[in-house]
Amino acid sequence: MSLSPRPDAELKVRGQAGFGMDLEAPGMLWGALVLSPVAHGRIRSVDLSAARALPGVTAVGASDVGVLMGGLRGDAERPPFPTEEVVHAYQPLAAVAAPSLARAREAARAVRLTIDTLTSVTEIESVFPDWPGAEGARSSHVLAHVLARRGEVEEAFADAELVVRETYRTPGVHQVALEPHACLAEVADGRWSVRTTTQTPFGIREDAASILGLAEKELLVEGMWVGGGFGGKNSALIEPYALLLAKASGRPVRLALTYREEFLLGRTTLPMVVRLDTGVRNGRIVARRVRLLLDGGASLPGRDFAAGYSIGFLLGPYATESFEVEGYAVRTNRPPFGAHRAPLAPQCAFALESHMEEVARRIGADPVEFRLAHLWSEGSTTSFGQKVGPFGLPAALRAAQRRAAAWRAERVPGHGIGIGVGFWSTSVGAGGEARVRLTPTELVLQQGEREIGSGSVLVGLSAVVERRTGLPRERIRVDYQDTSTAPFDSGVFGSRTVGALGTAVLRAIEALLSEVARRLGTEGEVRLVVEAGEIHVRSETGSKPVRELLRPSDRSAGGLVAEGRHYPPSGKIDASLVVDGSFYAYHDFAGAAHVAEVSVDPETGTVRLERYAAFHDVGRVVDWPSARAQVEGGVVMGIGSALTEEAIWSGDGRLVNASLLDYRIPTLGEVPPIDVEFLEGFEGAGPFGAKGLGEPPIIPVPAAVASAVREATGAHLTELPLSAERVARALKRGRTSPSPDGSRDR
Amino acid sequence: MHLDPFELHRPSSVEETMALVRELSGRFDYLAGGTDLLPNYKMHLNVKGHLVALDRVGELGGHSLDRLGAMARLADLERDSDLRREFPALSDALDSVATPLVRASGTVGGNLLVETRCFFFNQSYFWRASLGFCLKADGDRCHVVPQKERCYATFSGDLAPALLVSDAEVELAGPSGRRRVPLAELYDASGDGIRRLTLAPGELLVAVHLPRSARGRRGRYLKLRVRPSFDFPELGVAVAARWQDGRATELRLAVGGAETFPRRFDELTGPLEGSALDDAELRALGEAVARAVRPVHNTFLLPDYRRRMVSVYVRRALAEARPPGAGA
Ligand SMILES: Cc1cc2nc3c(=O)[nH]c(=O)nc-3n(C[C@H](O)[C@H](O)[C@H](O)COP(=O)(O)OP(=O)(O)OC[C@H]3O[C@@H](n4cnc5c(N)ncnc54)[C@H](O)[C@@H]3O)c2cc1C
Ligand code: SF4
Repeated sequence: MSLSPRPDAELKVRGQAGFGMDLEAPGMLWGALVLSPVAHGRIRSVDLSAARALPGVTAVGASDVGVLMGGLRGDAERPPFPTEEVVHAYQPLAAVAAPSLARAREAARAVRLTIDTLTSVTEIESVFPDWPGAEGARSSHVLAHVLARRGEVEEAFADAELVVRETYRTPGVHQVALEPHACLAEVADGRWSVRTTTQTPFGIREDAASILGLAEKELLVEGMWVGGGFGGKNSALIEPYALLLAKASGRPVRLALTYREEFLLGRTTLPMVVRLDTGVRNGRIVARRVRLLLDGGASLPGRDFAAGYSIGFLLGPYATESFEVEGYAVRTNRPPFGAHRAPLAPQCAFALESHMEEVARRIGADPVEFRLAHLWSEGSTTSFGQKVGPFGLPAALRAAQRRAAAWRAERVPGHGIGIGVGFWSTSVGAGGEARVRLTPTELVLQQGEREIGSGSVLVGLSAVVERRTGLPRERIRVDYQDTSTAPFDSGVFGSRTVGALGTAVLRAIEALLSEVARRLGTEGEVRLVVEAGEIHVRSETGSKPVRELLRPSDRSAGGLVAEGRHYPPSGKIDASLVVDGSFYAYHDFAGAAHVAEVSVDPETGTVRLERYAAFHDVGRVVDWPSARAQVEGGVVMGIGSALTEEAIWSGDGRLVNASLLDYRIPTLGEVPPIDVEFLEGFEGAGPFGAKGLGEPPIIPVPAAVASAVREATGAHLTELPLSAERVARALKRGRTSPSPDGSRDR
Repeated sequence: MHLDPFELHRPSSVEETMALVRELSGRFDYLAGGTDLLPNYKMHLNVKGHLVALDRVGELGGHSLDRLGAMARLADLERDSDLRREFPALSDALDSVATPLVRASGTVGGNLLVETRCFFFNQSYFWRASLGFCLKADGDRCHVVPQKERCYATFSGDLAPALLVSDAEVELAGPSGRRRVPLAELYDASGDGIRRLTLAPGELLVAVHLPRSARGRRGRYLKLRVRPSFDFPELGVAVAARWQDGRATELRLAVGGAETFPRRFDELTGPLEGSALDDAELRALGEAVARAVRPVHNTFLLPDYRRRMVSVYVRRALAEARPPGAGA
């Protein structure tokens, strides 16, 4: 295990790693967006004349797009600017660029908007106060509908000895990546290019090209150091506007969001309401009904984004003989739904795990044993009929159970200990390719993806190379390239970097090693070693410098080049269960069980995390310090979702807490000591059996904290976050179970 | 967000400052640490074209047990163990302001004169413009209490309550001379919430004076906020008293973070002079204070909760400030 500092640490500490805010080019203009002041309205006019009258200002609006692009060739469903109707709060209506940022902002303010405000919808429950009902799927407010059924659900409920019905609610949460979106666009000699802070250069290329109506090969995207993404930098947000401004002005244009704009405009998860009914008989679950109402914001109808995926997490990793799951994604006038580290999975786990605990309590069972009795294990079948692969969650839950027991033995009054379970499937089907180049002195990974902060690219991929070749890491270099030369990859998201891209890298390395072996004339295993400052290839028969193995034909490529590809197959679900919409098969089976100890102030309701332990099935740890850091970071982020984070929207569609002061992520003062343990050996599909680890650590946190709060106070809370106010209110009411009608608690 | 251009003036004495005040007649703001003013400027909140920086006015700096210069940095006070010992409520309050980084720049004067807060006010220009400006900046109505023509923004400084229970006085210098008034009189209880200070135009806060008689009282400042650092107070309760033979005298209690100005509750603590402050008395006092304060819904926590917390915090602050064994 190496504990040397991260290879990017010094660059970052010295301020030498260039981030979005550092983007500059000679003759550059500064961009600014003109955002809609209303969430819903009919556009009468967007008058750019006063902005254009300012010296040096370029302004573009809806009517300019066709002219600039030589016709409207982009995706008609998502033009850069709306022409008739504003459909969500803060929708960009025009963009301006000027020689200074101050002038650009002045120009943005000078754009005169005439919009007739229309009634906006900001609460899903105001659209469907009860449940959409038979006509629901046809309502214009429904963006997506999913429905699946197994077994005779009604009969199973009728046979149940007890049916527990509950409603859970969760708010929207923001990623709060340290770095807001920023990019620099240039259009010269018919070549469109943009440098941007993104999780996916190729994704941005596809997205921005489709929005603008460019062919993908006309657009070049270059990534850069990224100050965190967490799902917020998965798709084009500001790039099309910067490109339009660059085209219109003939100058490079830098466009960056302020942090407030990041809150207003950024795509993130939105609220949901979950109804869970569980029927039990003889201590076993015999029937389940899951109903999900999800705020989809102004997402495009029919483009599936989260309902089907989330709903899987509401059934969770628990065997269910008969079930019915139904979900609606509801259109509102909030910005379109976006990803947030394991989108909705922590919220789903909060609902499901709290519900499992409630069911167990009502039948007098131990909540952990009750879970274990239903938990999948390797070889069992998922609710959708998929065979479960190697799966360490049962072992993780046992470990958590032991830890909880140890802590409970020391428990003091006012404290509570809780357990939360989180299931995740990594590498969500997206593929990628890798290219490696071996020179006499180094092994280079040619790469479009940039390091986004987690270490998955810089450390994770290098660790894969190190492990397979034997080459020390200082001889492994990542060479970042733009989309015109880098091998294609889907992006750094979905916990897939080490698992999926890492597999492509591993295959490239295999190809490289077999070519090297061939040139060496050996059939056996070869390793790369450093001898006398040079890389040598070692086999049973001896070793030889790489220099001597290179051929003249390698010279133009600068070394021996090899490639690998990996487009992971996805498993299959039993399609006969699906009535409407899409449900997803899992690629592999990962998960974690967490233990939280809290203290709760009985009068103020303040919840304090005292200590925390996380048990993770990652298949195989590839780099221990990074793995540990991922878990710690995920737990901290989960504490935010559990206790303080909540996007607050006013009735007319305004985000009220659009600042780092008012949107409350945890500070160090709220972070307890976090103990991290990995359960290895439950092999995943990634290199050496690795499973992804970017997302799983956040998933069990709200559930674990809620369970601990319940033990400490008796309060069974069904709405996130578990704010002091909410806890205090529950304690004051002496409420130990949710109001029977499931009515709202705020 | 960015700052609009402004002209910076850096006088080196109170006299020079007053000359500038006459020259700039109302078109300026004083700049101390800037940790409150500049973020507000970035949001285009009541921006002026001139800033008069106070960092070179020597008389405003420094601190002792008797006197805190208006420009004394919170971080410097925080490190003064004598001050912390003699004024424990102030000591608590200092620790609770913002973060160490902010305290390294923030000053005593800036903290007492910190702008009041409201979530319709502490918003970007764009945000405020899209809703319609409010009374406190650029507009003519209040979004919190629409029926009234006054502002209910919340006073969110931490030092004021602690200094109020230390019987502090403030020394002011204006174009027409100097004066010294009790700290409580700095805040205009009869104002409309926009005018919330009794400072004359251009009047400068020179120093805070701490009377010897207030030294060594037992005291406490308890602050309600969502996170244990960073956050402004949603409520701040300061208490101080001297104890003799199990009886409390010189009992003081002040509340900030709940209304437009911080205030002392002498009418409620007066009757308890000489009492043992037993648990029942503390409970009754807490409830009486809670009945007297009127938080509105313009900060993160709901008014109903903040109000309930007033009684809890008053009781706890006094209980924690009692000497061991007292209150029985
Ligand atoms: C992230 C963050 C968190 C914060 N949290 C807290 C908190 O928890 N508690 C808290 O109390 N404050 C908090 N603050 C506010 C602020 O930082 C402090 O109140 C600080 O003490 C203000 O001092 P300053 O010198 O920076 O004031 P400045 O910003 O320089 O001035 C504030 C106001 O006082 C006026 N002024 C300053 N000095 C004088 C003078 N001598 N005479 C006349 N007028 C004067 C200025 O013109 C201005 O209107 C926070 C600020 C930030 C940015
Ligand atoms: S209380 Fe009313 S007037 Fe005062 S800042 Fe808030 S909205 Fe504006």
